Amino acid sequence: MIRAELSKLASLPATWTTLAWTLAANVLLTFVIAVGDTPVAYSRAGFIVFGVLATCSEYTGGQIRTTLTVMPRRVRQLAAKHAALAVVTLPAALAVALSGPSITLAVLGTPVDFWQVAEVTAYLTLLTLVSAAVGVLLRHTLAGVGLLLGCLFVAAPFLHEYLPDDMVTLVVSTPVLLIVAAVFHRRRDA
Amino acid sequence: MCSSRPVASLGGVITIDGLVKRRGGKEILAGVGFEARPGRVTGFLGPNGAGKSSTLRILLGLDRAHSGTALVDGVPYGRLADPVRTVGAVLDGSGAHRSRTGRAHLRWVARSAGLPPSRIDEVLALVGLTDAAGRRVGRYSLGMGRRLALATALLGDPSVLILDEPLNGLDPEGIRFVRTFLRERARSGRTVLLSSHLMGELAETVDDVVVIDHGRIVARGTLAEVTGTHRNLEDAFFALTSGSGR
Repeated sequence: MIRAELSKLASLPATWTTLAWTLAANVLLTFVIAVGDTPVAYSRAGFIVFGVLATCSEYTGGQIRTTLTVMPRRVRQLAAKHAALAVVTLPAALAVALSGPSITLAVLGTPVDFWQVAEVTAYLTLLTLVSAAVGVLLRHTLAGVGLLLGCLFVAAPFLHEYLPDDMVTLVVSTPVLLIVAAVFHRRRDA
Repeated sequence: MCSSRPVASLGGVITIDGLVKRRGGKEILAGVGFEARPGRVTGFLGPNGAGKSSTLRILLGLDRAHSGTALVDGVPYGRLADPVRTVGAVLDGSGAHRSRTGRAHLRWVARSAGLPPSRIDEVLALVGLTDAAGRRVGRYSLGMGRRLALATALLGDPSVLILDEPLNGLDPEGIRFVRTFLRERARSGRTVLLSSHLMGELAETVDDVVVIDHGRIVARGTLAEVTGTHRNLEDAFFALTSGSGR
């Protein structure tokens, strides 16, 4: 099932365009801002779009009906989809996380903080999974992307003092949202 | 021609019993029940909105019924050990994402069931899509999308084929192909269940007939039994569903 879901992701042109644009934008912003980790704040948008697309693309052309008739065990199917998504996202997140620091290393000679790279990679991967779960719940790409961008760029700065660290929030909310998405995915009419 | 007997049963009995489905306070299925057997083409007929698609979606595990059962070989769809090799489903549209190629769509379905890649070329050839396999589904005509859906359903060479309005959007050549093909499937001992609102198109294809109207089964039996004293299936259909205000 994971192979099927990987095959789906890989054969969707939007996968490659989204990830390529995100990386390109991140590199460009690094030059503009010239501070190692700041562009990642904006590159998060690319990973949100990617995550939401991964699940909402099922609802184009009635593909969800094909998916659920060939893989009727829905919780397993969704778990396979999230696993496949993580497999594709990790290297992309790593590339984005590395791109900023390696440019500042080359231009300014600032050493690369590998712990920070690892943290950014994990952060972007979890963010993608959360986005995918939101996509499952909303079944609508624009609504999902809009909601998540709103949370991240509008609500989060306001709530910042009440919330724990971004990373902690994500580590807690990812499994919760994945489970909620699986419960809804299992129970709802396709 | 409509009395062909199963050569060898591969299993694939569909048993639907007492299905009730409500949507928005309205009862769209009010105790639907019938059987479809191997070696026969069963036509599931009724006017638009009668509950044909809802019944098939429940049978395929896509929607949930409020009560009743829909079983394939005695188990609900979701518990089939090997769904792709047991049931092939053709619902409306292509069932494929428009930005994928036809071949890429078949590839992920084949992978989901561990089918060999050679099956992809076989089903493409079978439905006549070999030349269009590398094109994106969004560029397909309506008929090509339908043929891709049929190819997808046939990947696992299943013992049961379930088709919702399979003749919609097909040109006369396509209709002829589908009819001949479905008869052939039944002759080899497989189960074919298809829904339609086109009576005239079906009389030559089906062995058994189930008629649904307003979420209730109003007639079921062999083609001869349901046609009864009427001139043809179409007349019988209108007589049976005359209460539907058409």
